Amino acid sequence: MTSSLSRVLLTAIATLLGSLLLLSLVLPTGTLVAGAGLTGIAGAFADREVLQAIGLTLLCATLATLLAVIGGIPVAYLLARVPFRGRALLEALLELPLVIPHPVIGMALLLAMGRESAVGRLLAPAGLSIVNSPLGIVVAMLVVSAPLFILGARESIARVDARLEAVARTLGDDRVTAIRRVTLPLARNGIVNAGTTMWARATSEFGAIVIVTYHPRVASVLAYDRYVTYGLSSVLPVAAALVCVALAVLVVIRMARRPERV
Amino acid sequence: MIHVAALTVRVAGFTLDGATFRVPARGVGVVTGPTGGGKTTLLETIAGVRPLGSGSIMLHDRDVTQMAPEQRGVGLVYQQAWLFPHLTVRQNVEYGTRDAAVVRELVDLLRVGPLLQKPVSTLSGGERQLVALARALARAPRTLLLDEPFAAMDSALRGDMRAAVLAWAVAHDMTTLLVTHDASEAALPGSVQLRVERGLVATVS
Repeated sequence: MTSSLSRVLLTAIATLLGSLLLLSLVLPTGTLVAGAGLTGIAGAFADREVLQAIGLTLLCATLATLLAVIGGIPVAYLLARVPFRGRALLEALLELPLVIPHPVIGMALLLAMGRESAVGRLLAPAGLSIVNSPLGIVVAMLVVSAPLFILGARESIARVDARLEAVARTLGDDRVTAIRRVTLPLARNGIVNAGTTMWARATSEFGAIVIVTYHPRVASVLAYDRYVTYGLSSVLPVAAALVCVALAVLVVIRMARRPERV
Repeated sequence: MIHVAALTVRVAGFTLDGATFRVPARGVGVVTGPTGGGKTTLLETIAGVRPLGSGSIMLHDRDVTQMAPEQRGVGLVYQQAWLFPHLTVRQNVEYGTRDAAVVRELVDLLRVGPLLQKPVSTLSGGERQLVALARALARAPRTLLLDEPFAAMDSALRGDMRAAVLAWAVAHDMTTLLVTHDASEAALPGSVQLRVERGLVATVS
């Protein structure tokens, strides 16, 4: 009797806490969309500046994610499979951008890759600069959110038993082929999840971008700009439009997931 | 022929120390010993999927010590089978070969025909082992490394399949190393008997 009562109590508490958490996650964006209203959102989608900002945000976030996938999968594999001295240090370095305030990362980027830096001087002859350019947006997004991809991909690769790869090697695959035919297909869902998380984080980035590239404006910078210039009510349609687009993309990605195989 | 000399492997606090033995061409080496003694480590090292500390491995008069697993001409079957779960049974069997005739023969020999279109997740332990055996044999390796590959089968099927696999191995010029806890397998006539215990390998007969 006592144990069944405590089970009911525990279930009730867990349900209440879970519901409160979900509410706290959904309430701000829900209020924002409701505050903008359908007319406001439709108006935002007719606003050329808003459309350009959202388009630039999505394009840069997608480019940053693609770069992270191309460069990050080998790093994730290395961390998941190959024991080497300094692995803990490398993992800590990868996690560093997650704990540093993003405006500080923006300042660090200016120092390391701005016009006066060695990298900046290397980029200049090609007409490239990270300051006030889409390149700067991509770099800022990459630095602040690629760790999420690499760490997520590492976990999903580590969950694929190394003996599957070993068997593939004895069946004629070299290491790269075994990874391509066995490990990556089995880690696919985790890697897609990590990529989605990174893309979502990159899309929402503000702190590093606003330091490096105020113009051209991504959606977060445009929303901030309108907030400080015109006040809260004028920013609602812009922010609600971004929420709608991001939600649509995330739902499509989640629906495209394949079922896990055992 | 399998010729292992002074093989030393270190794995997280465990050492397989100075293993030396020889199994003649087309012969069978039967490896017995307590769990955790180093039997699987020995097979994985010969297959090249686990790095060795020192020593040498000759397979069919080729020094494969520094070779990658895919260059050694070995087939490795684990007790857990380790089928590729994202592929069907047919795709698993065909993974390492394009020889459709050999695949057909092995499918008949190991009675996996009714399983071919099934997803791996629906198979029983014994069925998984049969598919893993077919997959390894289809690659036509010269050296067959079997880690309790019949353990999940019932006793009647186990006897049939063991006889079929070993006959196939001899007919196709393969040398076999078989890890087992099964007394009837351990007493295979004409086999080289190896005992692996606490990282030490001894040739019993």
